[in-house]
Amino acid sequence: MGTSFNDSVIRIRRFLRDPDGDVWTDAELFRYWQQAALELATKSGVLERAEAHTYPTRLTYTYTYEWEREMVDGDRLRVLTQHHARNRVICYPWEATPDTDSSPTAADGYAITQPWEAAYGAPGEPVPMILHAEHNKTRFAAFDQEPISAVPRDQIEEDDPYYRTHTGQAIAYYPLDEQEHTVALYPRPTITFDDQEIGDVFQDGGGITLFWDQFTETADVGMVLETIDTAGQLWLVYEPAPDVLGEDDDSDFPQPFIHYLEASVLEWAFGADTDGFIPSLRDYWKVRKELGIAVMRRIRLSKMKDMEIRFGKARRLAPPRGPRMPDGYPAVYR
Amino acid sequence: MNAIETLVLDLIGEDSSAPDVFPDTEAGMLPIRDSINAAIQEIAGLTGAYERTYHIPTRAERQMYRIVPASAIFGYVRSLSYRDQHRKLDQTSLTTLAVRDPWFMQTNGAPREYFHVGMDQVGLYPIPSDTGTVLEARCMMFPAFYTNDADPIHLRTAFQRAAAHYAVSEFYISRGDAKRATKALGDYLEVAGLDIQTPEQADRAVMMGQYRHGNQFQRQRN
Repeated sequence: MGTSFNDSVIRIRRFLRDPDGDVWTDAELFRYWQQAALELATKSGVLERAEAHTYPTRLTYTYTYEWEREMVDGDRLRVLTQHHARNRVICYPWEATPDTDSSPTAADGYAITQPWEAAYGAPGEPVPMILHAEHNKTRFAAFDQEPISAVPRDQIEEDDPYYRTHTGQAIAYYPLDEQEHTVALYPRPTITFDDQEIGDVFQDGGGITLFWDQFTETADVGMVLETIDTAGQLWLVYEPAPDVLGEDDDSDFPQPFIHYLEASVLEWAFGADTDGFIPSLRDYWKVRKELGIAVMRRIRLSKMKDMEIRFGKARRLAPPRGPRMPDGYPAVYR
Repeated sequence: MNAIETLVLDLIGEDSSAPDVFPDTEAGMLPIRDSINAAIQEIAGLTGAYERTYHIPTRAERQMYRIVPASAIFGYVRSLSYRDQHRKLDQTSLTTLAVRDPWFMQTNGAPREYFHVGMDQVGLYPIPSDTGTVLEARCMMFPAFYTNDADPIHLRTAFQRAAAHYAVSEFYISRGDAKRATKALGDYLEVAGLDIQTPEQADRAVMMGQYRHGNQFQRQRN
């Protein structure tokens, strides 16, 4: 869908008048590209993703001490509890009590290290769900095809002291750890395993859907259908904060918006305190970038143009009209 | 070399009949065409002038559909309707549906409303209960790049002149002349009418008070 940095760098270098990288290296320009993607996404709000997250979260790694985080890549989550007084990891609160304590604090349930373990033993802590690394702002959330609300953890704790172990149909979600980017569902839904693999849940037609009679198997007809399975999953519509990792990675921005990314890169390049610092060119590209942000905002608002917006009395859905009784009902005997 | 490219060469001082810096070849005209294509897409995005119809065949129990045109880039849906029933679907949003019908991701029936999801998907409510009904979507799209003289330019004449100024601006900035580039950028905005913020005529009516169904002709007939 998008364009990568490597697709744009030749055009960028034309405007920099530095085709051979004598002043700005590709690595430097790529860092500006990453910065530009983040800036334009947050200022325009034009990007949006809709993704299903498996429940429970399937993780590649879990770790206990914070220093271990940098030793692993991919889906990773810190589990158990760090007892900071003694710089060690504990499973249950009673482990933090002195050895002489005769009435240790009872645990509310099991200590788990992988979310799926909650299917085999009631955990004493909320089951974390890790969000996408580029998740920025949630616009809509639903669990098992029913909308859920974002509620602060403090409010849930105030309303339900047993929120950690309360089970039932999820009606809300709350943030667990900002750094780990995790949330928890409240109440905790029951985990029921089926034979689905991750590939089944995130299945995407990718190309063209074939019709059942198979006569339109060519690649140029048909239409692309998304087959995200939302049953039993956390479905999130969110605004991403793009984190472009590789120079060949396609940008989240559709192709018509790539020029605004390039304008932002050029603004940074001409504005950096290097041999290529030219404030007049920096200001020009800043104007171009801001024009692009205005264009993207306008397009985002235009998406709602067909919506009916009314002030005053809201139109209510007409209640279903039941069968009309005969005029003489109930019978009146005079 | 089309009319826009000729105008660009004239404005930058090239001999359009025998250009030497930008020869009339695919490689020679590439920088100019690149700029003009960017302008075309930007003007199309702002004005919504490039509209195409996209047909969506519904599938039973499938709520969301990705719109991927083969020869353009999807922008947004402007209107969605049943062509055979002459009935238009109302636009809604996820948050509105969540309030009105918390089970909107499970309710099925004949779709009455649609909503945007993500960058290129549209959802229907209720979920279609049958397969094969075709919905007609009028979509704002971005034209694909043109690459040679034979390709159509999807802009009205007035906007084509604006696109030329856009390309002139990029030419001057590629030479390091910020002053001329800024002047040409201003010309682009002025010629396209983009400096007045709302070049597309507003076609919605904002009403206060109670909503009245039907159009004026129906009310007179009744």
